[in-house]
Amino acid sequence: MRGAIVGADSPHLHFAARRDISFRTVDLRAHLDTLCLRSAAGLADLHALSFDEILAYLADLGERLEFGRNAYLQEALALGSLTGGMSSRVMRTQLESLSALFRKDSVRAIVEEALGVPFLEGWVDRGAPGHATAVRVRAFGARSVHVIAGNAPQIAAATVIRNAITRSDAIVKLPSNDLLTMVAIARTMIDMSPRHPITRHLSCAYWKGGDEAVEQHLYHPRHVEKLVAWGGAQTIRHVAKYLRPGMELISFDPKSSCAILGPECFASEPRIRSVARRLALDVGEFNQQACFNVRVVFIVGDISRSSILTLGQLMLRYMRALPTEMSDNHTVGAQWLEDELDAIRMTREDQVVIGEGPGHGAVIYSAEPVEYAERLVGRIANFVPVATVSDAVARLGAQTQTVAVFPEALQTSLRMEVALQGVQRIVSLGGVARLRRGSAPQDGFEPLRRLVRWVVEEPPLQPSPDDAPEPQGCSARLA
Amino acid sequence: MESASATASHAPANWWRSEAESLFPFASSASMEEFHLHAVSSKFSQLVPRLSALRKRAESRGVHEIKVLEDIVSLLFPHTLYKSYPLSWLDHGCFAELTTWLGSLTTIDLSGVRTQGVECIDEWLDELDRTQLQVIHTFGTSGKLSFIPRTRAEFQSAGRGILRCLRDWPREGGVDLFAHPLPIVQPYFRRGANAITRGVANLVELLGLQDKDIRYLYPDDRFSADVASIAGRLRGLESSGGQFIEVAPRIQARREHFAAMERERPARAAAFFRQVCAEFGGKDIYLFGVWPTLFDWAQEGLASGIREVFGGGSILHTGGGLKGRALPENWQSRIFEFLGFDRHFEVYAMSELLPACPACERGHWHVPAAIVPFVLEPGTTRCLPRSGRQRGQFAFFDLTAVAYWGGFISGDDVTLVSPDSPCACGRAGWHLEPDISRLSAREGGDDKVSCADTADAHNRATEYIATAG
Repeated sequence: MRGAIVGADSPHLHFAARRDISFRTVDLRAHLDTLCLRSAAGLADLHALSFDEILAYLADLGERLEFGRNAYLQEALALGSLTGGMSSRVMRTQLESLSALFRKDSVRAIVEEALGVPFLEGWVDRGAPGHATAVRVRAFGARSVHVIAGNAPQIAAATVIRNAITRSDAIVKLPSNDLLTMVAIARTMIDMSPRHPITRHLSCAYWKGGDEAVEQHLYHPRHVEKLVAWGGAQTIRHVAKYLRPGMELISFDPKSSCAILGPECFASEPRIRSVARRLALDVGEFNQQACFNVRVVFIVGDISRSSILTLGQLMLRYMRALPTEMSDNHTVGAQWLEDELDAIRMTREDQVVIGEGPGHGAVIYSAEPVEYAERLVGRIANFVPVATVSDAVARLGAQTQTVAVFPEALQTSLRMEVALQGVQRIVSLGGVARLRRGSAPQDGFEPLRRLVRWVVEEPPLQPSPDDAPEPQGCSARLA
Repeated sequence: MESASATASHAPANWWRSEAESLFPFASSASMEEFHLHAVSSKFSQLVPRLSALRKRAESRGVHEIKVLEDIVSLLFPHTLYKSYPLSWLDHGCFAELTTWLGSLTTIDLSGVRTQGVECIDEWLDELDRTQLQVIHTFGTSGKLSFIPRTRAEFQSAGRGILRCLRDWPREGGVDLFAHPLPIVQPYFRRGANAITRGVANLVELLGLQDKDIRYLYPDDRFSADVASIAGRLRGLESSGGQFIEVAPRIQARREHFAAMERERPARAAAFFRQVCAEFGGKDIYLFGVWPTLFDWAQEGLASGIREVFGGGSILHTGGGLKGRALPENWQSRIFEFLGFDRHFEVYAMSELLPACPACERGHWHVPAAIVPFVLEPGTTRCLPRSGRQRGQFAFFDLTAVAYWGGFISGDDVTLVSPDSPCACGRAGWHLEPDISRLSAREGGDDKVSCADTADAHNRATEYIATAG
């Protein structure tokens, strides 16, 4: 909390991260005054830093976040692999990738592409076409609360980086399925430079979502301007009831992603293999934990069930052959899904399951996407045959984040239709996990531009009101 | 069709006898275990060839015989299996598909069931009633009804069991409704296909009661499965933040009827209440009711100066606990003060179970010998040791199920105590400790609407239909 670890001798509360794993943490109610910044003026110390100094801080931090030399991250791995959905191996890969995110050149490139350094550093003239005078615009930070998701450690890193770049204050609510990644980053910051403004403007804590004693205090324009929420309806609901003028909600909604395969995919054996390899990546990478992982695969054209199942078998084989750092057999708490697959095997003729189940992987073949398609975990794909491309596109919407398409020609011809349907990201099959540009829009908006407060300063009036003639009877006599 | 008493001398129907320890007709728990193994193994052999779902499951699990009781665990069906049909079938009236799906879960031949022209669930259930089935549906806040293919014969034998239990269980003396039927006060719907309406309807038939002997809050109305389905889905939408539900045209047409029901409900309930007090005041009755509703009645009655309404020989048949409703400390004595009697028969029950588990004087739920209980590690299919006290996910094999598979994994978190640690009340056999809760959906439960809530849920749904679009 603001550069210090709080509460060793403070009253604690116990929570369950999972049925058999509980943790205790400080009862936040005693520390709410310390936690909150009483006014936005509290951000002034961040303006003593130049952008280059911010970059230097982040670069230093990044070096210390090298997994091998950071005990806090290792601790995060130990707990996270028990409470989260990723295996230890896959989570380790994700944690190892964090360090590189803080490098000077990548952070600078992101800011240059998505925001523009001049807006952070000074007042930038914005000419108004047709007007002689320009206004000046500058980007300022905001006091924010981030309710982050725990399915991807990169979210914690991105939150810290964005907070630093924008000269904002962040109070981060820790997700119970990955309590320690954000804590690891914060502790590293404290070890590195406890009194540095960037360190002092990052706090993280756990409280139970919906705890009114905490949230009524925290989610108030007195203390916070922006609420950044990653998560589903329940999270948004807890947060949304506090929205009012003066507070903005930025939500990274849960998304689902899918693939569209044109009939060309089945044109030849080498082609089928290529598609199967790419599908294996899009379904299997990250153990299907990310919102960009493919869950539903629409197969366009008059393709026989047996050809589709062959593709499924091949996909499963390639998936199992992926390096274990990318994808492996691991699931926690998916008995409900085992039961759904069993129900198909036991009572349905119109649907088919191939493969073993969550973890090992499986394919569900069905005429319509299954009801729980968006909740598929453990490397399970739902293959759905459709007659035409339009049939596939019609099933997409604003809740679809990524659509992976094959072949390339189809991707180009589809992108307008798909975009109009509400989809936010169109990639080539095999590329869902290849996030190429950290500066690119996410979930349909540009996070950095939303996280800052845009302030306009306007120059003196011309002509000046002083030049106008005095109307009759107007005088200002001072007594 | 197989009758419940076909199985040798230890037929389930005979287990509820009139001796003092009628719920435990075994010389020892060892002989009960031996019987359970034999009975479960027979059920397995009888039903594998007749239930396609069981056959496929047994094949995929590689189970060919039951050598020890734990062998059956991998063949227990999760309760969610009975709602594994796609919701879109209900939305689009695909009752032929639903019938085929249900057919895999019952030995009854459903090939002759008419589905052409069937437009809603209530109608579908009526068509199924023309076979030997009396399908029951449950409620689910996840949004889906389960459909359990029970037969009339199974209900009848369960009904006989309950009546014997009402007579033999209470230590202070039960009530013998065979010999001396009492008028029934049922503050609920007469018709419908949930476990409550089916159960009471079968009891009424067993006892040969006439209309004049029963008072229903809604004698002419049916607890509608369509309305219950919408109620469940409304709750599901609330928690998931989803969009719309399609309401079948036929249900929409009944909108005005539902709207009227909703408007009249408070007056209706008050009138029923007054009518029952007037008609049966001072008389012995057989009352069905859940504690929260009874408490509301008692408060209203006592506030109007009405107390000790019914005869001291009455009996209350109840279950479902308080289900989260916070009542003042003396809630039970208030209820009895109003009712005028305190003899009650409280059970732990669920739609998936035919026999119920009665509460003893210590508040423990006793598992009838017709049920083979297990506890699993929640969210897994790992069986915990069958000895001592074990907390976990309640699973069981119901030996009284004849035409469907009696093996279930429930969504409840319980503490099961084995016969080697007998209950302090002195009765033998397995029992459950009082504290029972729902497992989260992730662990294999789902947020079921309890009996105590069903009227509420039904009312909310009628409101939705009346006001939607």
